Amino acid sequence: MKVHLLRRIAILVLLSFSIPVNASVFDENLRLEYRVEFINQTTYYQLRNDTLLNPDSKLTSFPKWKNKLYKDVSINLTYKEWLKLVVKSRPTWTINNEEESSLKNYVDDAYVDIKLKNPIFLTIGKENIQEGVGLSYNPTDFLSEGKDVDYSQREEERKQDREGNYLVRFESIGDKITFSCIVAPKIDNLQKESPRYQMRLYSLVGDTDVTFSYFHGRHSKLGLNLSGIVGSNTELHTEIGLTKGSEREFLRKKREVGPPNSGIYEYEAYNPSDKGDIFVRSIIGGHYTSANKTNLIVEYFFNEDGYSKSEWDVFIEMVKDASSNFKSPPAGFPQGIFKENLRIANSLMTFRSLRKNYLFFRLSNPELFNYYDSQLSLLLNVDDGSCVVMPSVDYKRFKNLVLRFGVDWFCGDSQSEFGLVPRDTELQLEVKYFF
Amino acid sequence: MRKAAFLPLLLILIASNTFSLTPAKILERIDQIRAPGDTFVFDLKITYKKEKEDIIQKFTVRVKDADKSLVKFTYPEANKGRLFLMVGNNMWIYIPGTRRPIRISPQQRLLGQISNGDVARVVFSLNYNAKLLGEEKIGESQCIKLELTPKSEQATYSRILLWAEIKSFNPIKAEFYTASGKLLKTAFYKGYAEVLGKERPLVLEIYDELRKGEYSIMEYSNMKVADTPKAFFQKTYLKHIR
Repeated sequence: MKVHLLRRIAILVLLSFSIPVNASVFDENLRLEYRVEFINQTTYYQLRNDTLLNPDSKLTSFPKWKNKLYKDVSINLTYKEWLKLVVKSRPTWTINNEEESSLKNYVDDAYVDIKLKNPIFLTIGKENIQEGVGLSYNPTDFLSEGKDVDYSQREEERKQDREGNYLVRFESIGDKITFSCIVAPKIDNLQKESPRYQMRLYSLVGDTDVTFSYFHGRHSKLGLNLSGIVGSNTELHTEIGLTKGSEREFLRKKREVGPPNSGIYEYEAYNPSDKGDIFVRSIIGGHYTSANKTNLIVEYFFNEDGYSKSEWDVFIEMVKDASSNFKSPPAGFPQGIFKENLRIANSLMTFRSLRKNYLFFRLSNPELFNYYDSQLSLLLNVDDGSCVVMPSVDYKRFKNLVLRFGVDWFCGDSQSEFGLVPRDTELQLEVKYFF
Repeated sequence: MRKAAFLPLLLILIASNTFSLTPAKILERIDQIRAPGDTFVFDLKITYKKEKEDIIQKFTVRVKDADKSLVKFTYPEANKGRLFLMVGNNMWIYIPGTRRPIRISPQQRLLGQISNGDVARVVFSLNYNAKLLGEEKIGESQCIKLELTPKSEQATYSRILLWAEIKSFNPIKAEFYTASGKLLKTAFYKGYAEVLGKERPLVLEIYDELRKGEYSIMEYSNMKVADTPKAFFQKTYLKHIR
């Protein structure tokens, strides 16, 4: 009953404001631009029946399919060239095979951009700021780290639909240098993170883009971005982020339970006490375009804050213990202890940057057989050999309509990063209609 | 009869005047026909002719100091709001959704046979050195033939052959080659009309030599001399453009 009610509300909300107006000019001083996209995304998951983190699929159940219907609404209202109001929101309705349904409106942007004096700008409101020059990894995207992204999207699209931060930004654009300063305060009920500050300097040095940034929040961070062109068809980029203190969490034995020397432990997650240490995260890569429009992107990224081999081995051994005890609890011990241990282990899984060394490849052609925007991407965990293979194709034959079919294959042995993912295949069909 | 007698003399005079110019000067004269100055604005429509349908894109292009270009996508709706910036040899594209300007290479394609560099850069002399190869007849026009080679590695093409009418320097045809020497595309300059005091080609037909049968048409309109604020040509300014 609740699902039916939500369905009705969802459809009502999603279909509201669907007047096909995409640009209007009220008069010379006031200009409105309006853009709407309807997206329906259906994802089918081929689940793994038995993983170390979810033995015999008994710890938790994952949906076999999910449908996400959302409307991406962008509004730009400009007044007399000095004031711009930007709103981007995504009312989203999701439902899965277990009839779990949710309706939520995500606000990515809702800010005013004021031209104080050409070229000095003041921005106030909620904004999804995206920093960095890498495609598969952005170690200098400090402000929005930790915000949810949709990994089923292509790499360049993932951070477009992401909730923004409430902030005030001052930006001065000089002939040689652009300076910007951002304050993202803590706001009751709206922004729970501790106050964050960021300063950023940008300059074109010779033919190289150079961006330097300093971030102060829960951790202090420094960032450097460089990008440039070699020849007429190759773009090269690198991005380096230094973080004071570790942000990773480990699994450890909290205390022994049962009789002395039982060998049964409760686990806990903990942040190591190496707060003074500096951790390097970096990416280096290039984008080559051939004469027939084929693009090759290769990137290597390094996350010093990821698990080393010895740390990973310790983690896996603990998970193996918890997993086997969960399947067959030792006499006198309730299964709940091991269930909780596995739940904590699951909470540490930040797939795609768990370990230290990764390689990313993408081969793409935006006009294969005229109408097919196709690509084949691969993210390889160099430390354990596991990988995710991501082919996808967009069919663009119709005006205002794009059909996408994509697959994610997670490959690797049961003790590797991508071997621990609870599904081995994701099939996705997306229909996008825009006006 | 007298007129006929003067004609060879006139041609000799024109030819001697042409060949008294250095190839670089000839190229500058050709560029002056395509661009009305160093700082100007124009609208551009690109039609990509495919087997069964046409794909159309429209842009407004602002050029400043000859080497800076700002291209605003105005059609279709899906691309509206996109901006493409070229400063010297550097290029960025700003897609409102992506929130950050992305560096791109000149070779990356905009639509059909058209590369980014074709849209943003109207003139050749900024990026290419010229060498005079001689004379050839293209259709009814007696033309000089120039070979253009890149001044730097960032130029979009490794070699261009350019034909321009001897008497007027009106560009007639160009061939664009890859580094391996393969002919990539052939362009024909058409639709000559008087704009800002000169006959200028307002239509450019570009034929794909790799995908035979496909071609694109670039149509220039509303060309006028107008200045654009300097700040517009900064990468960081793109997201503030109204």
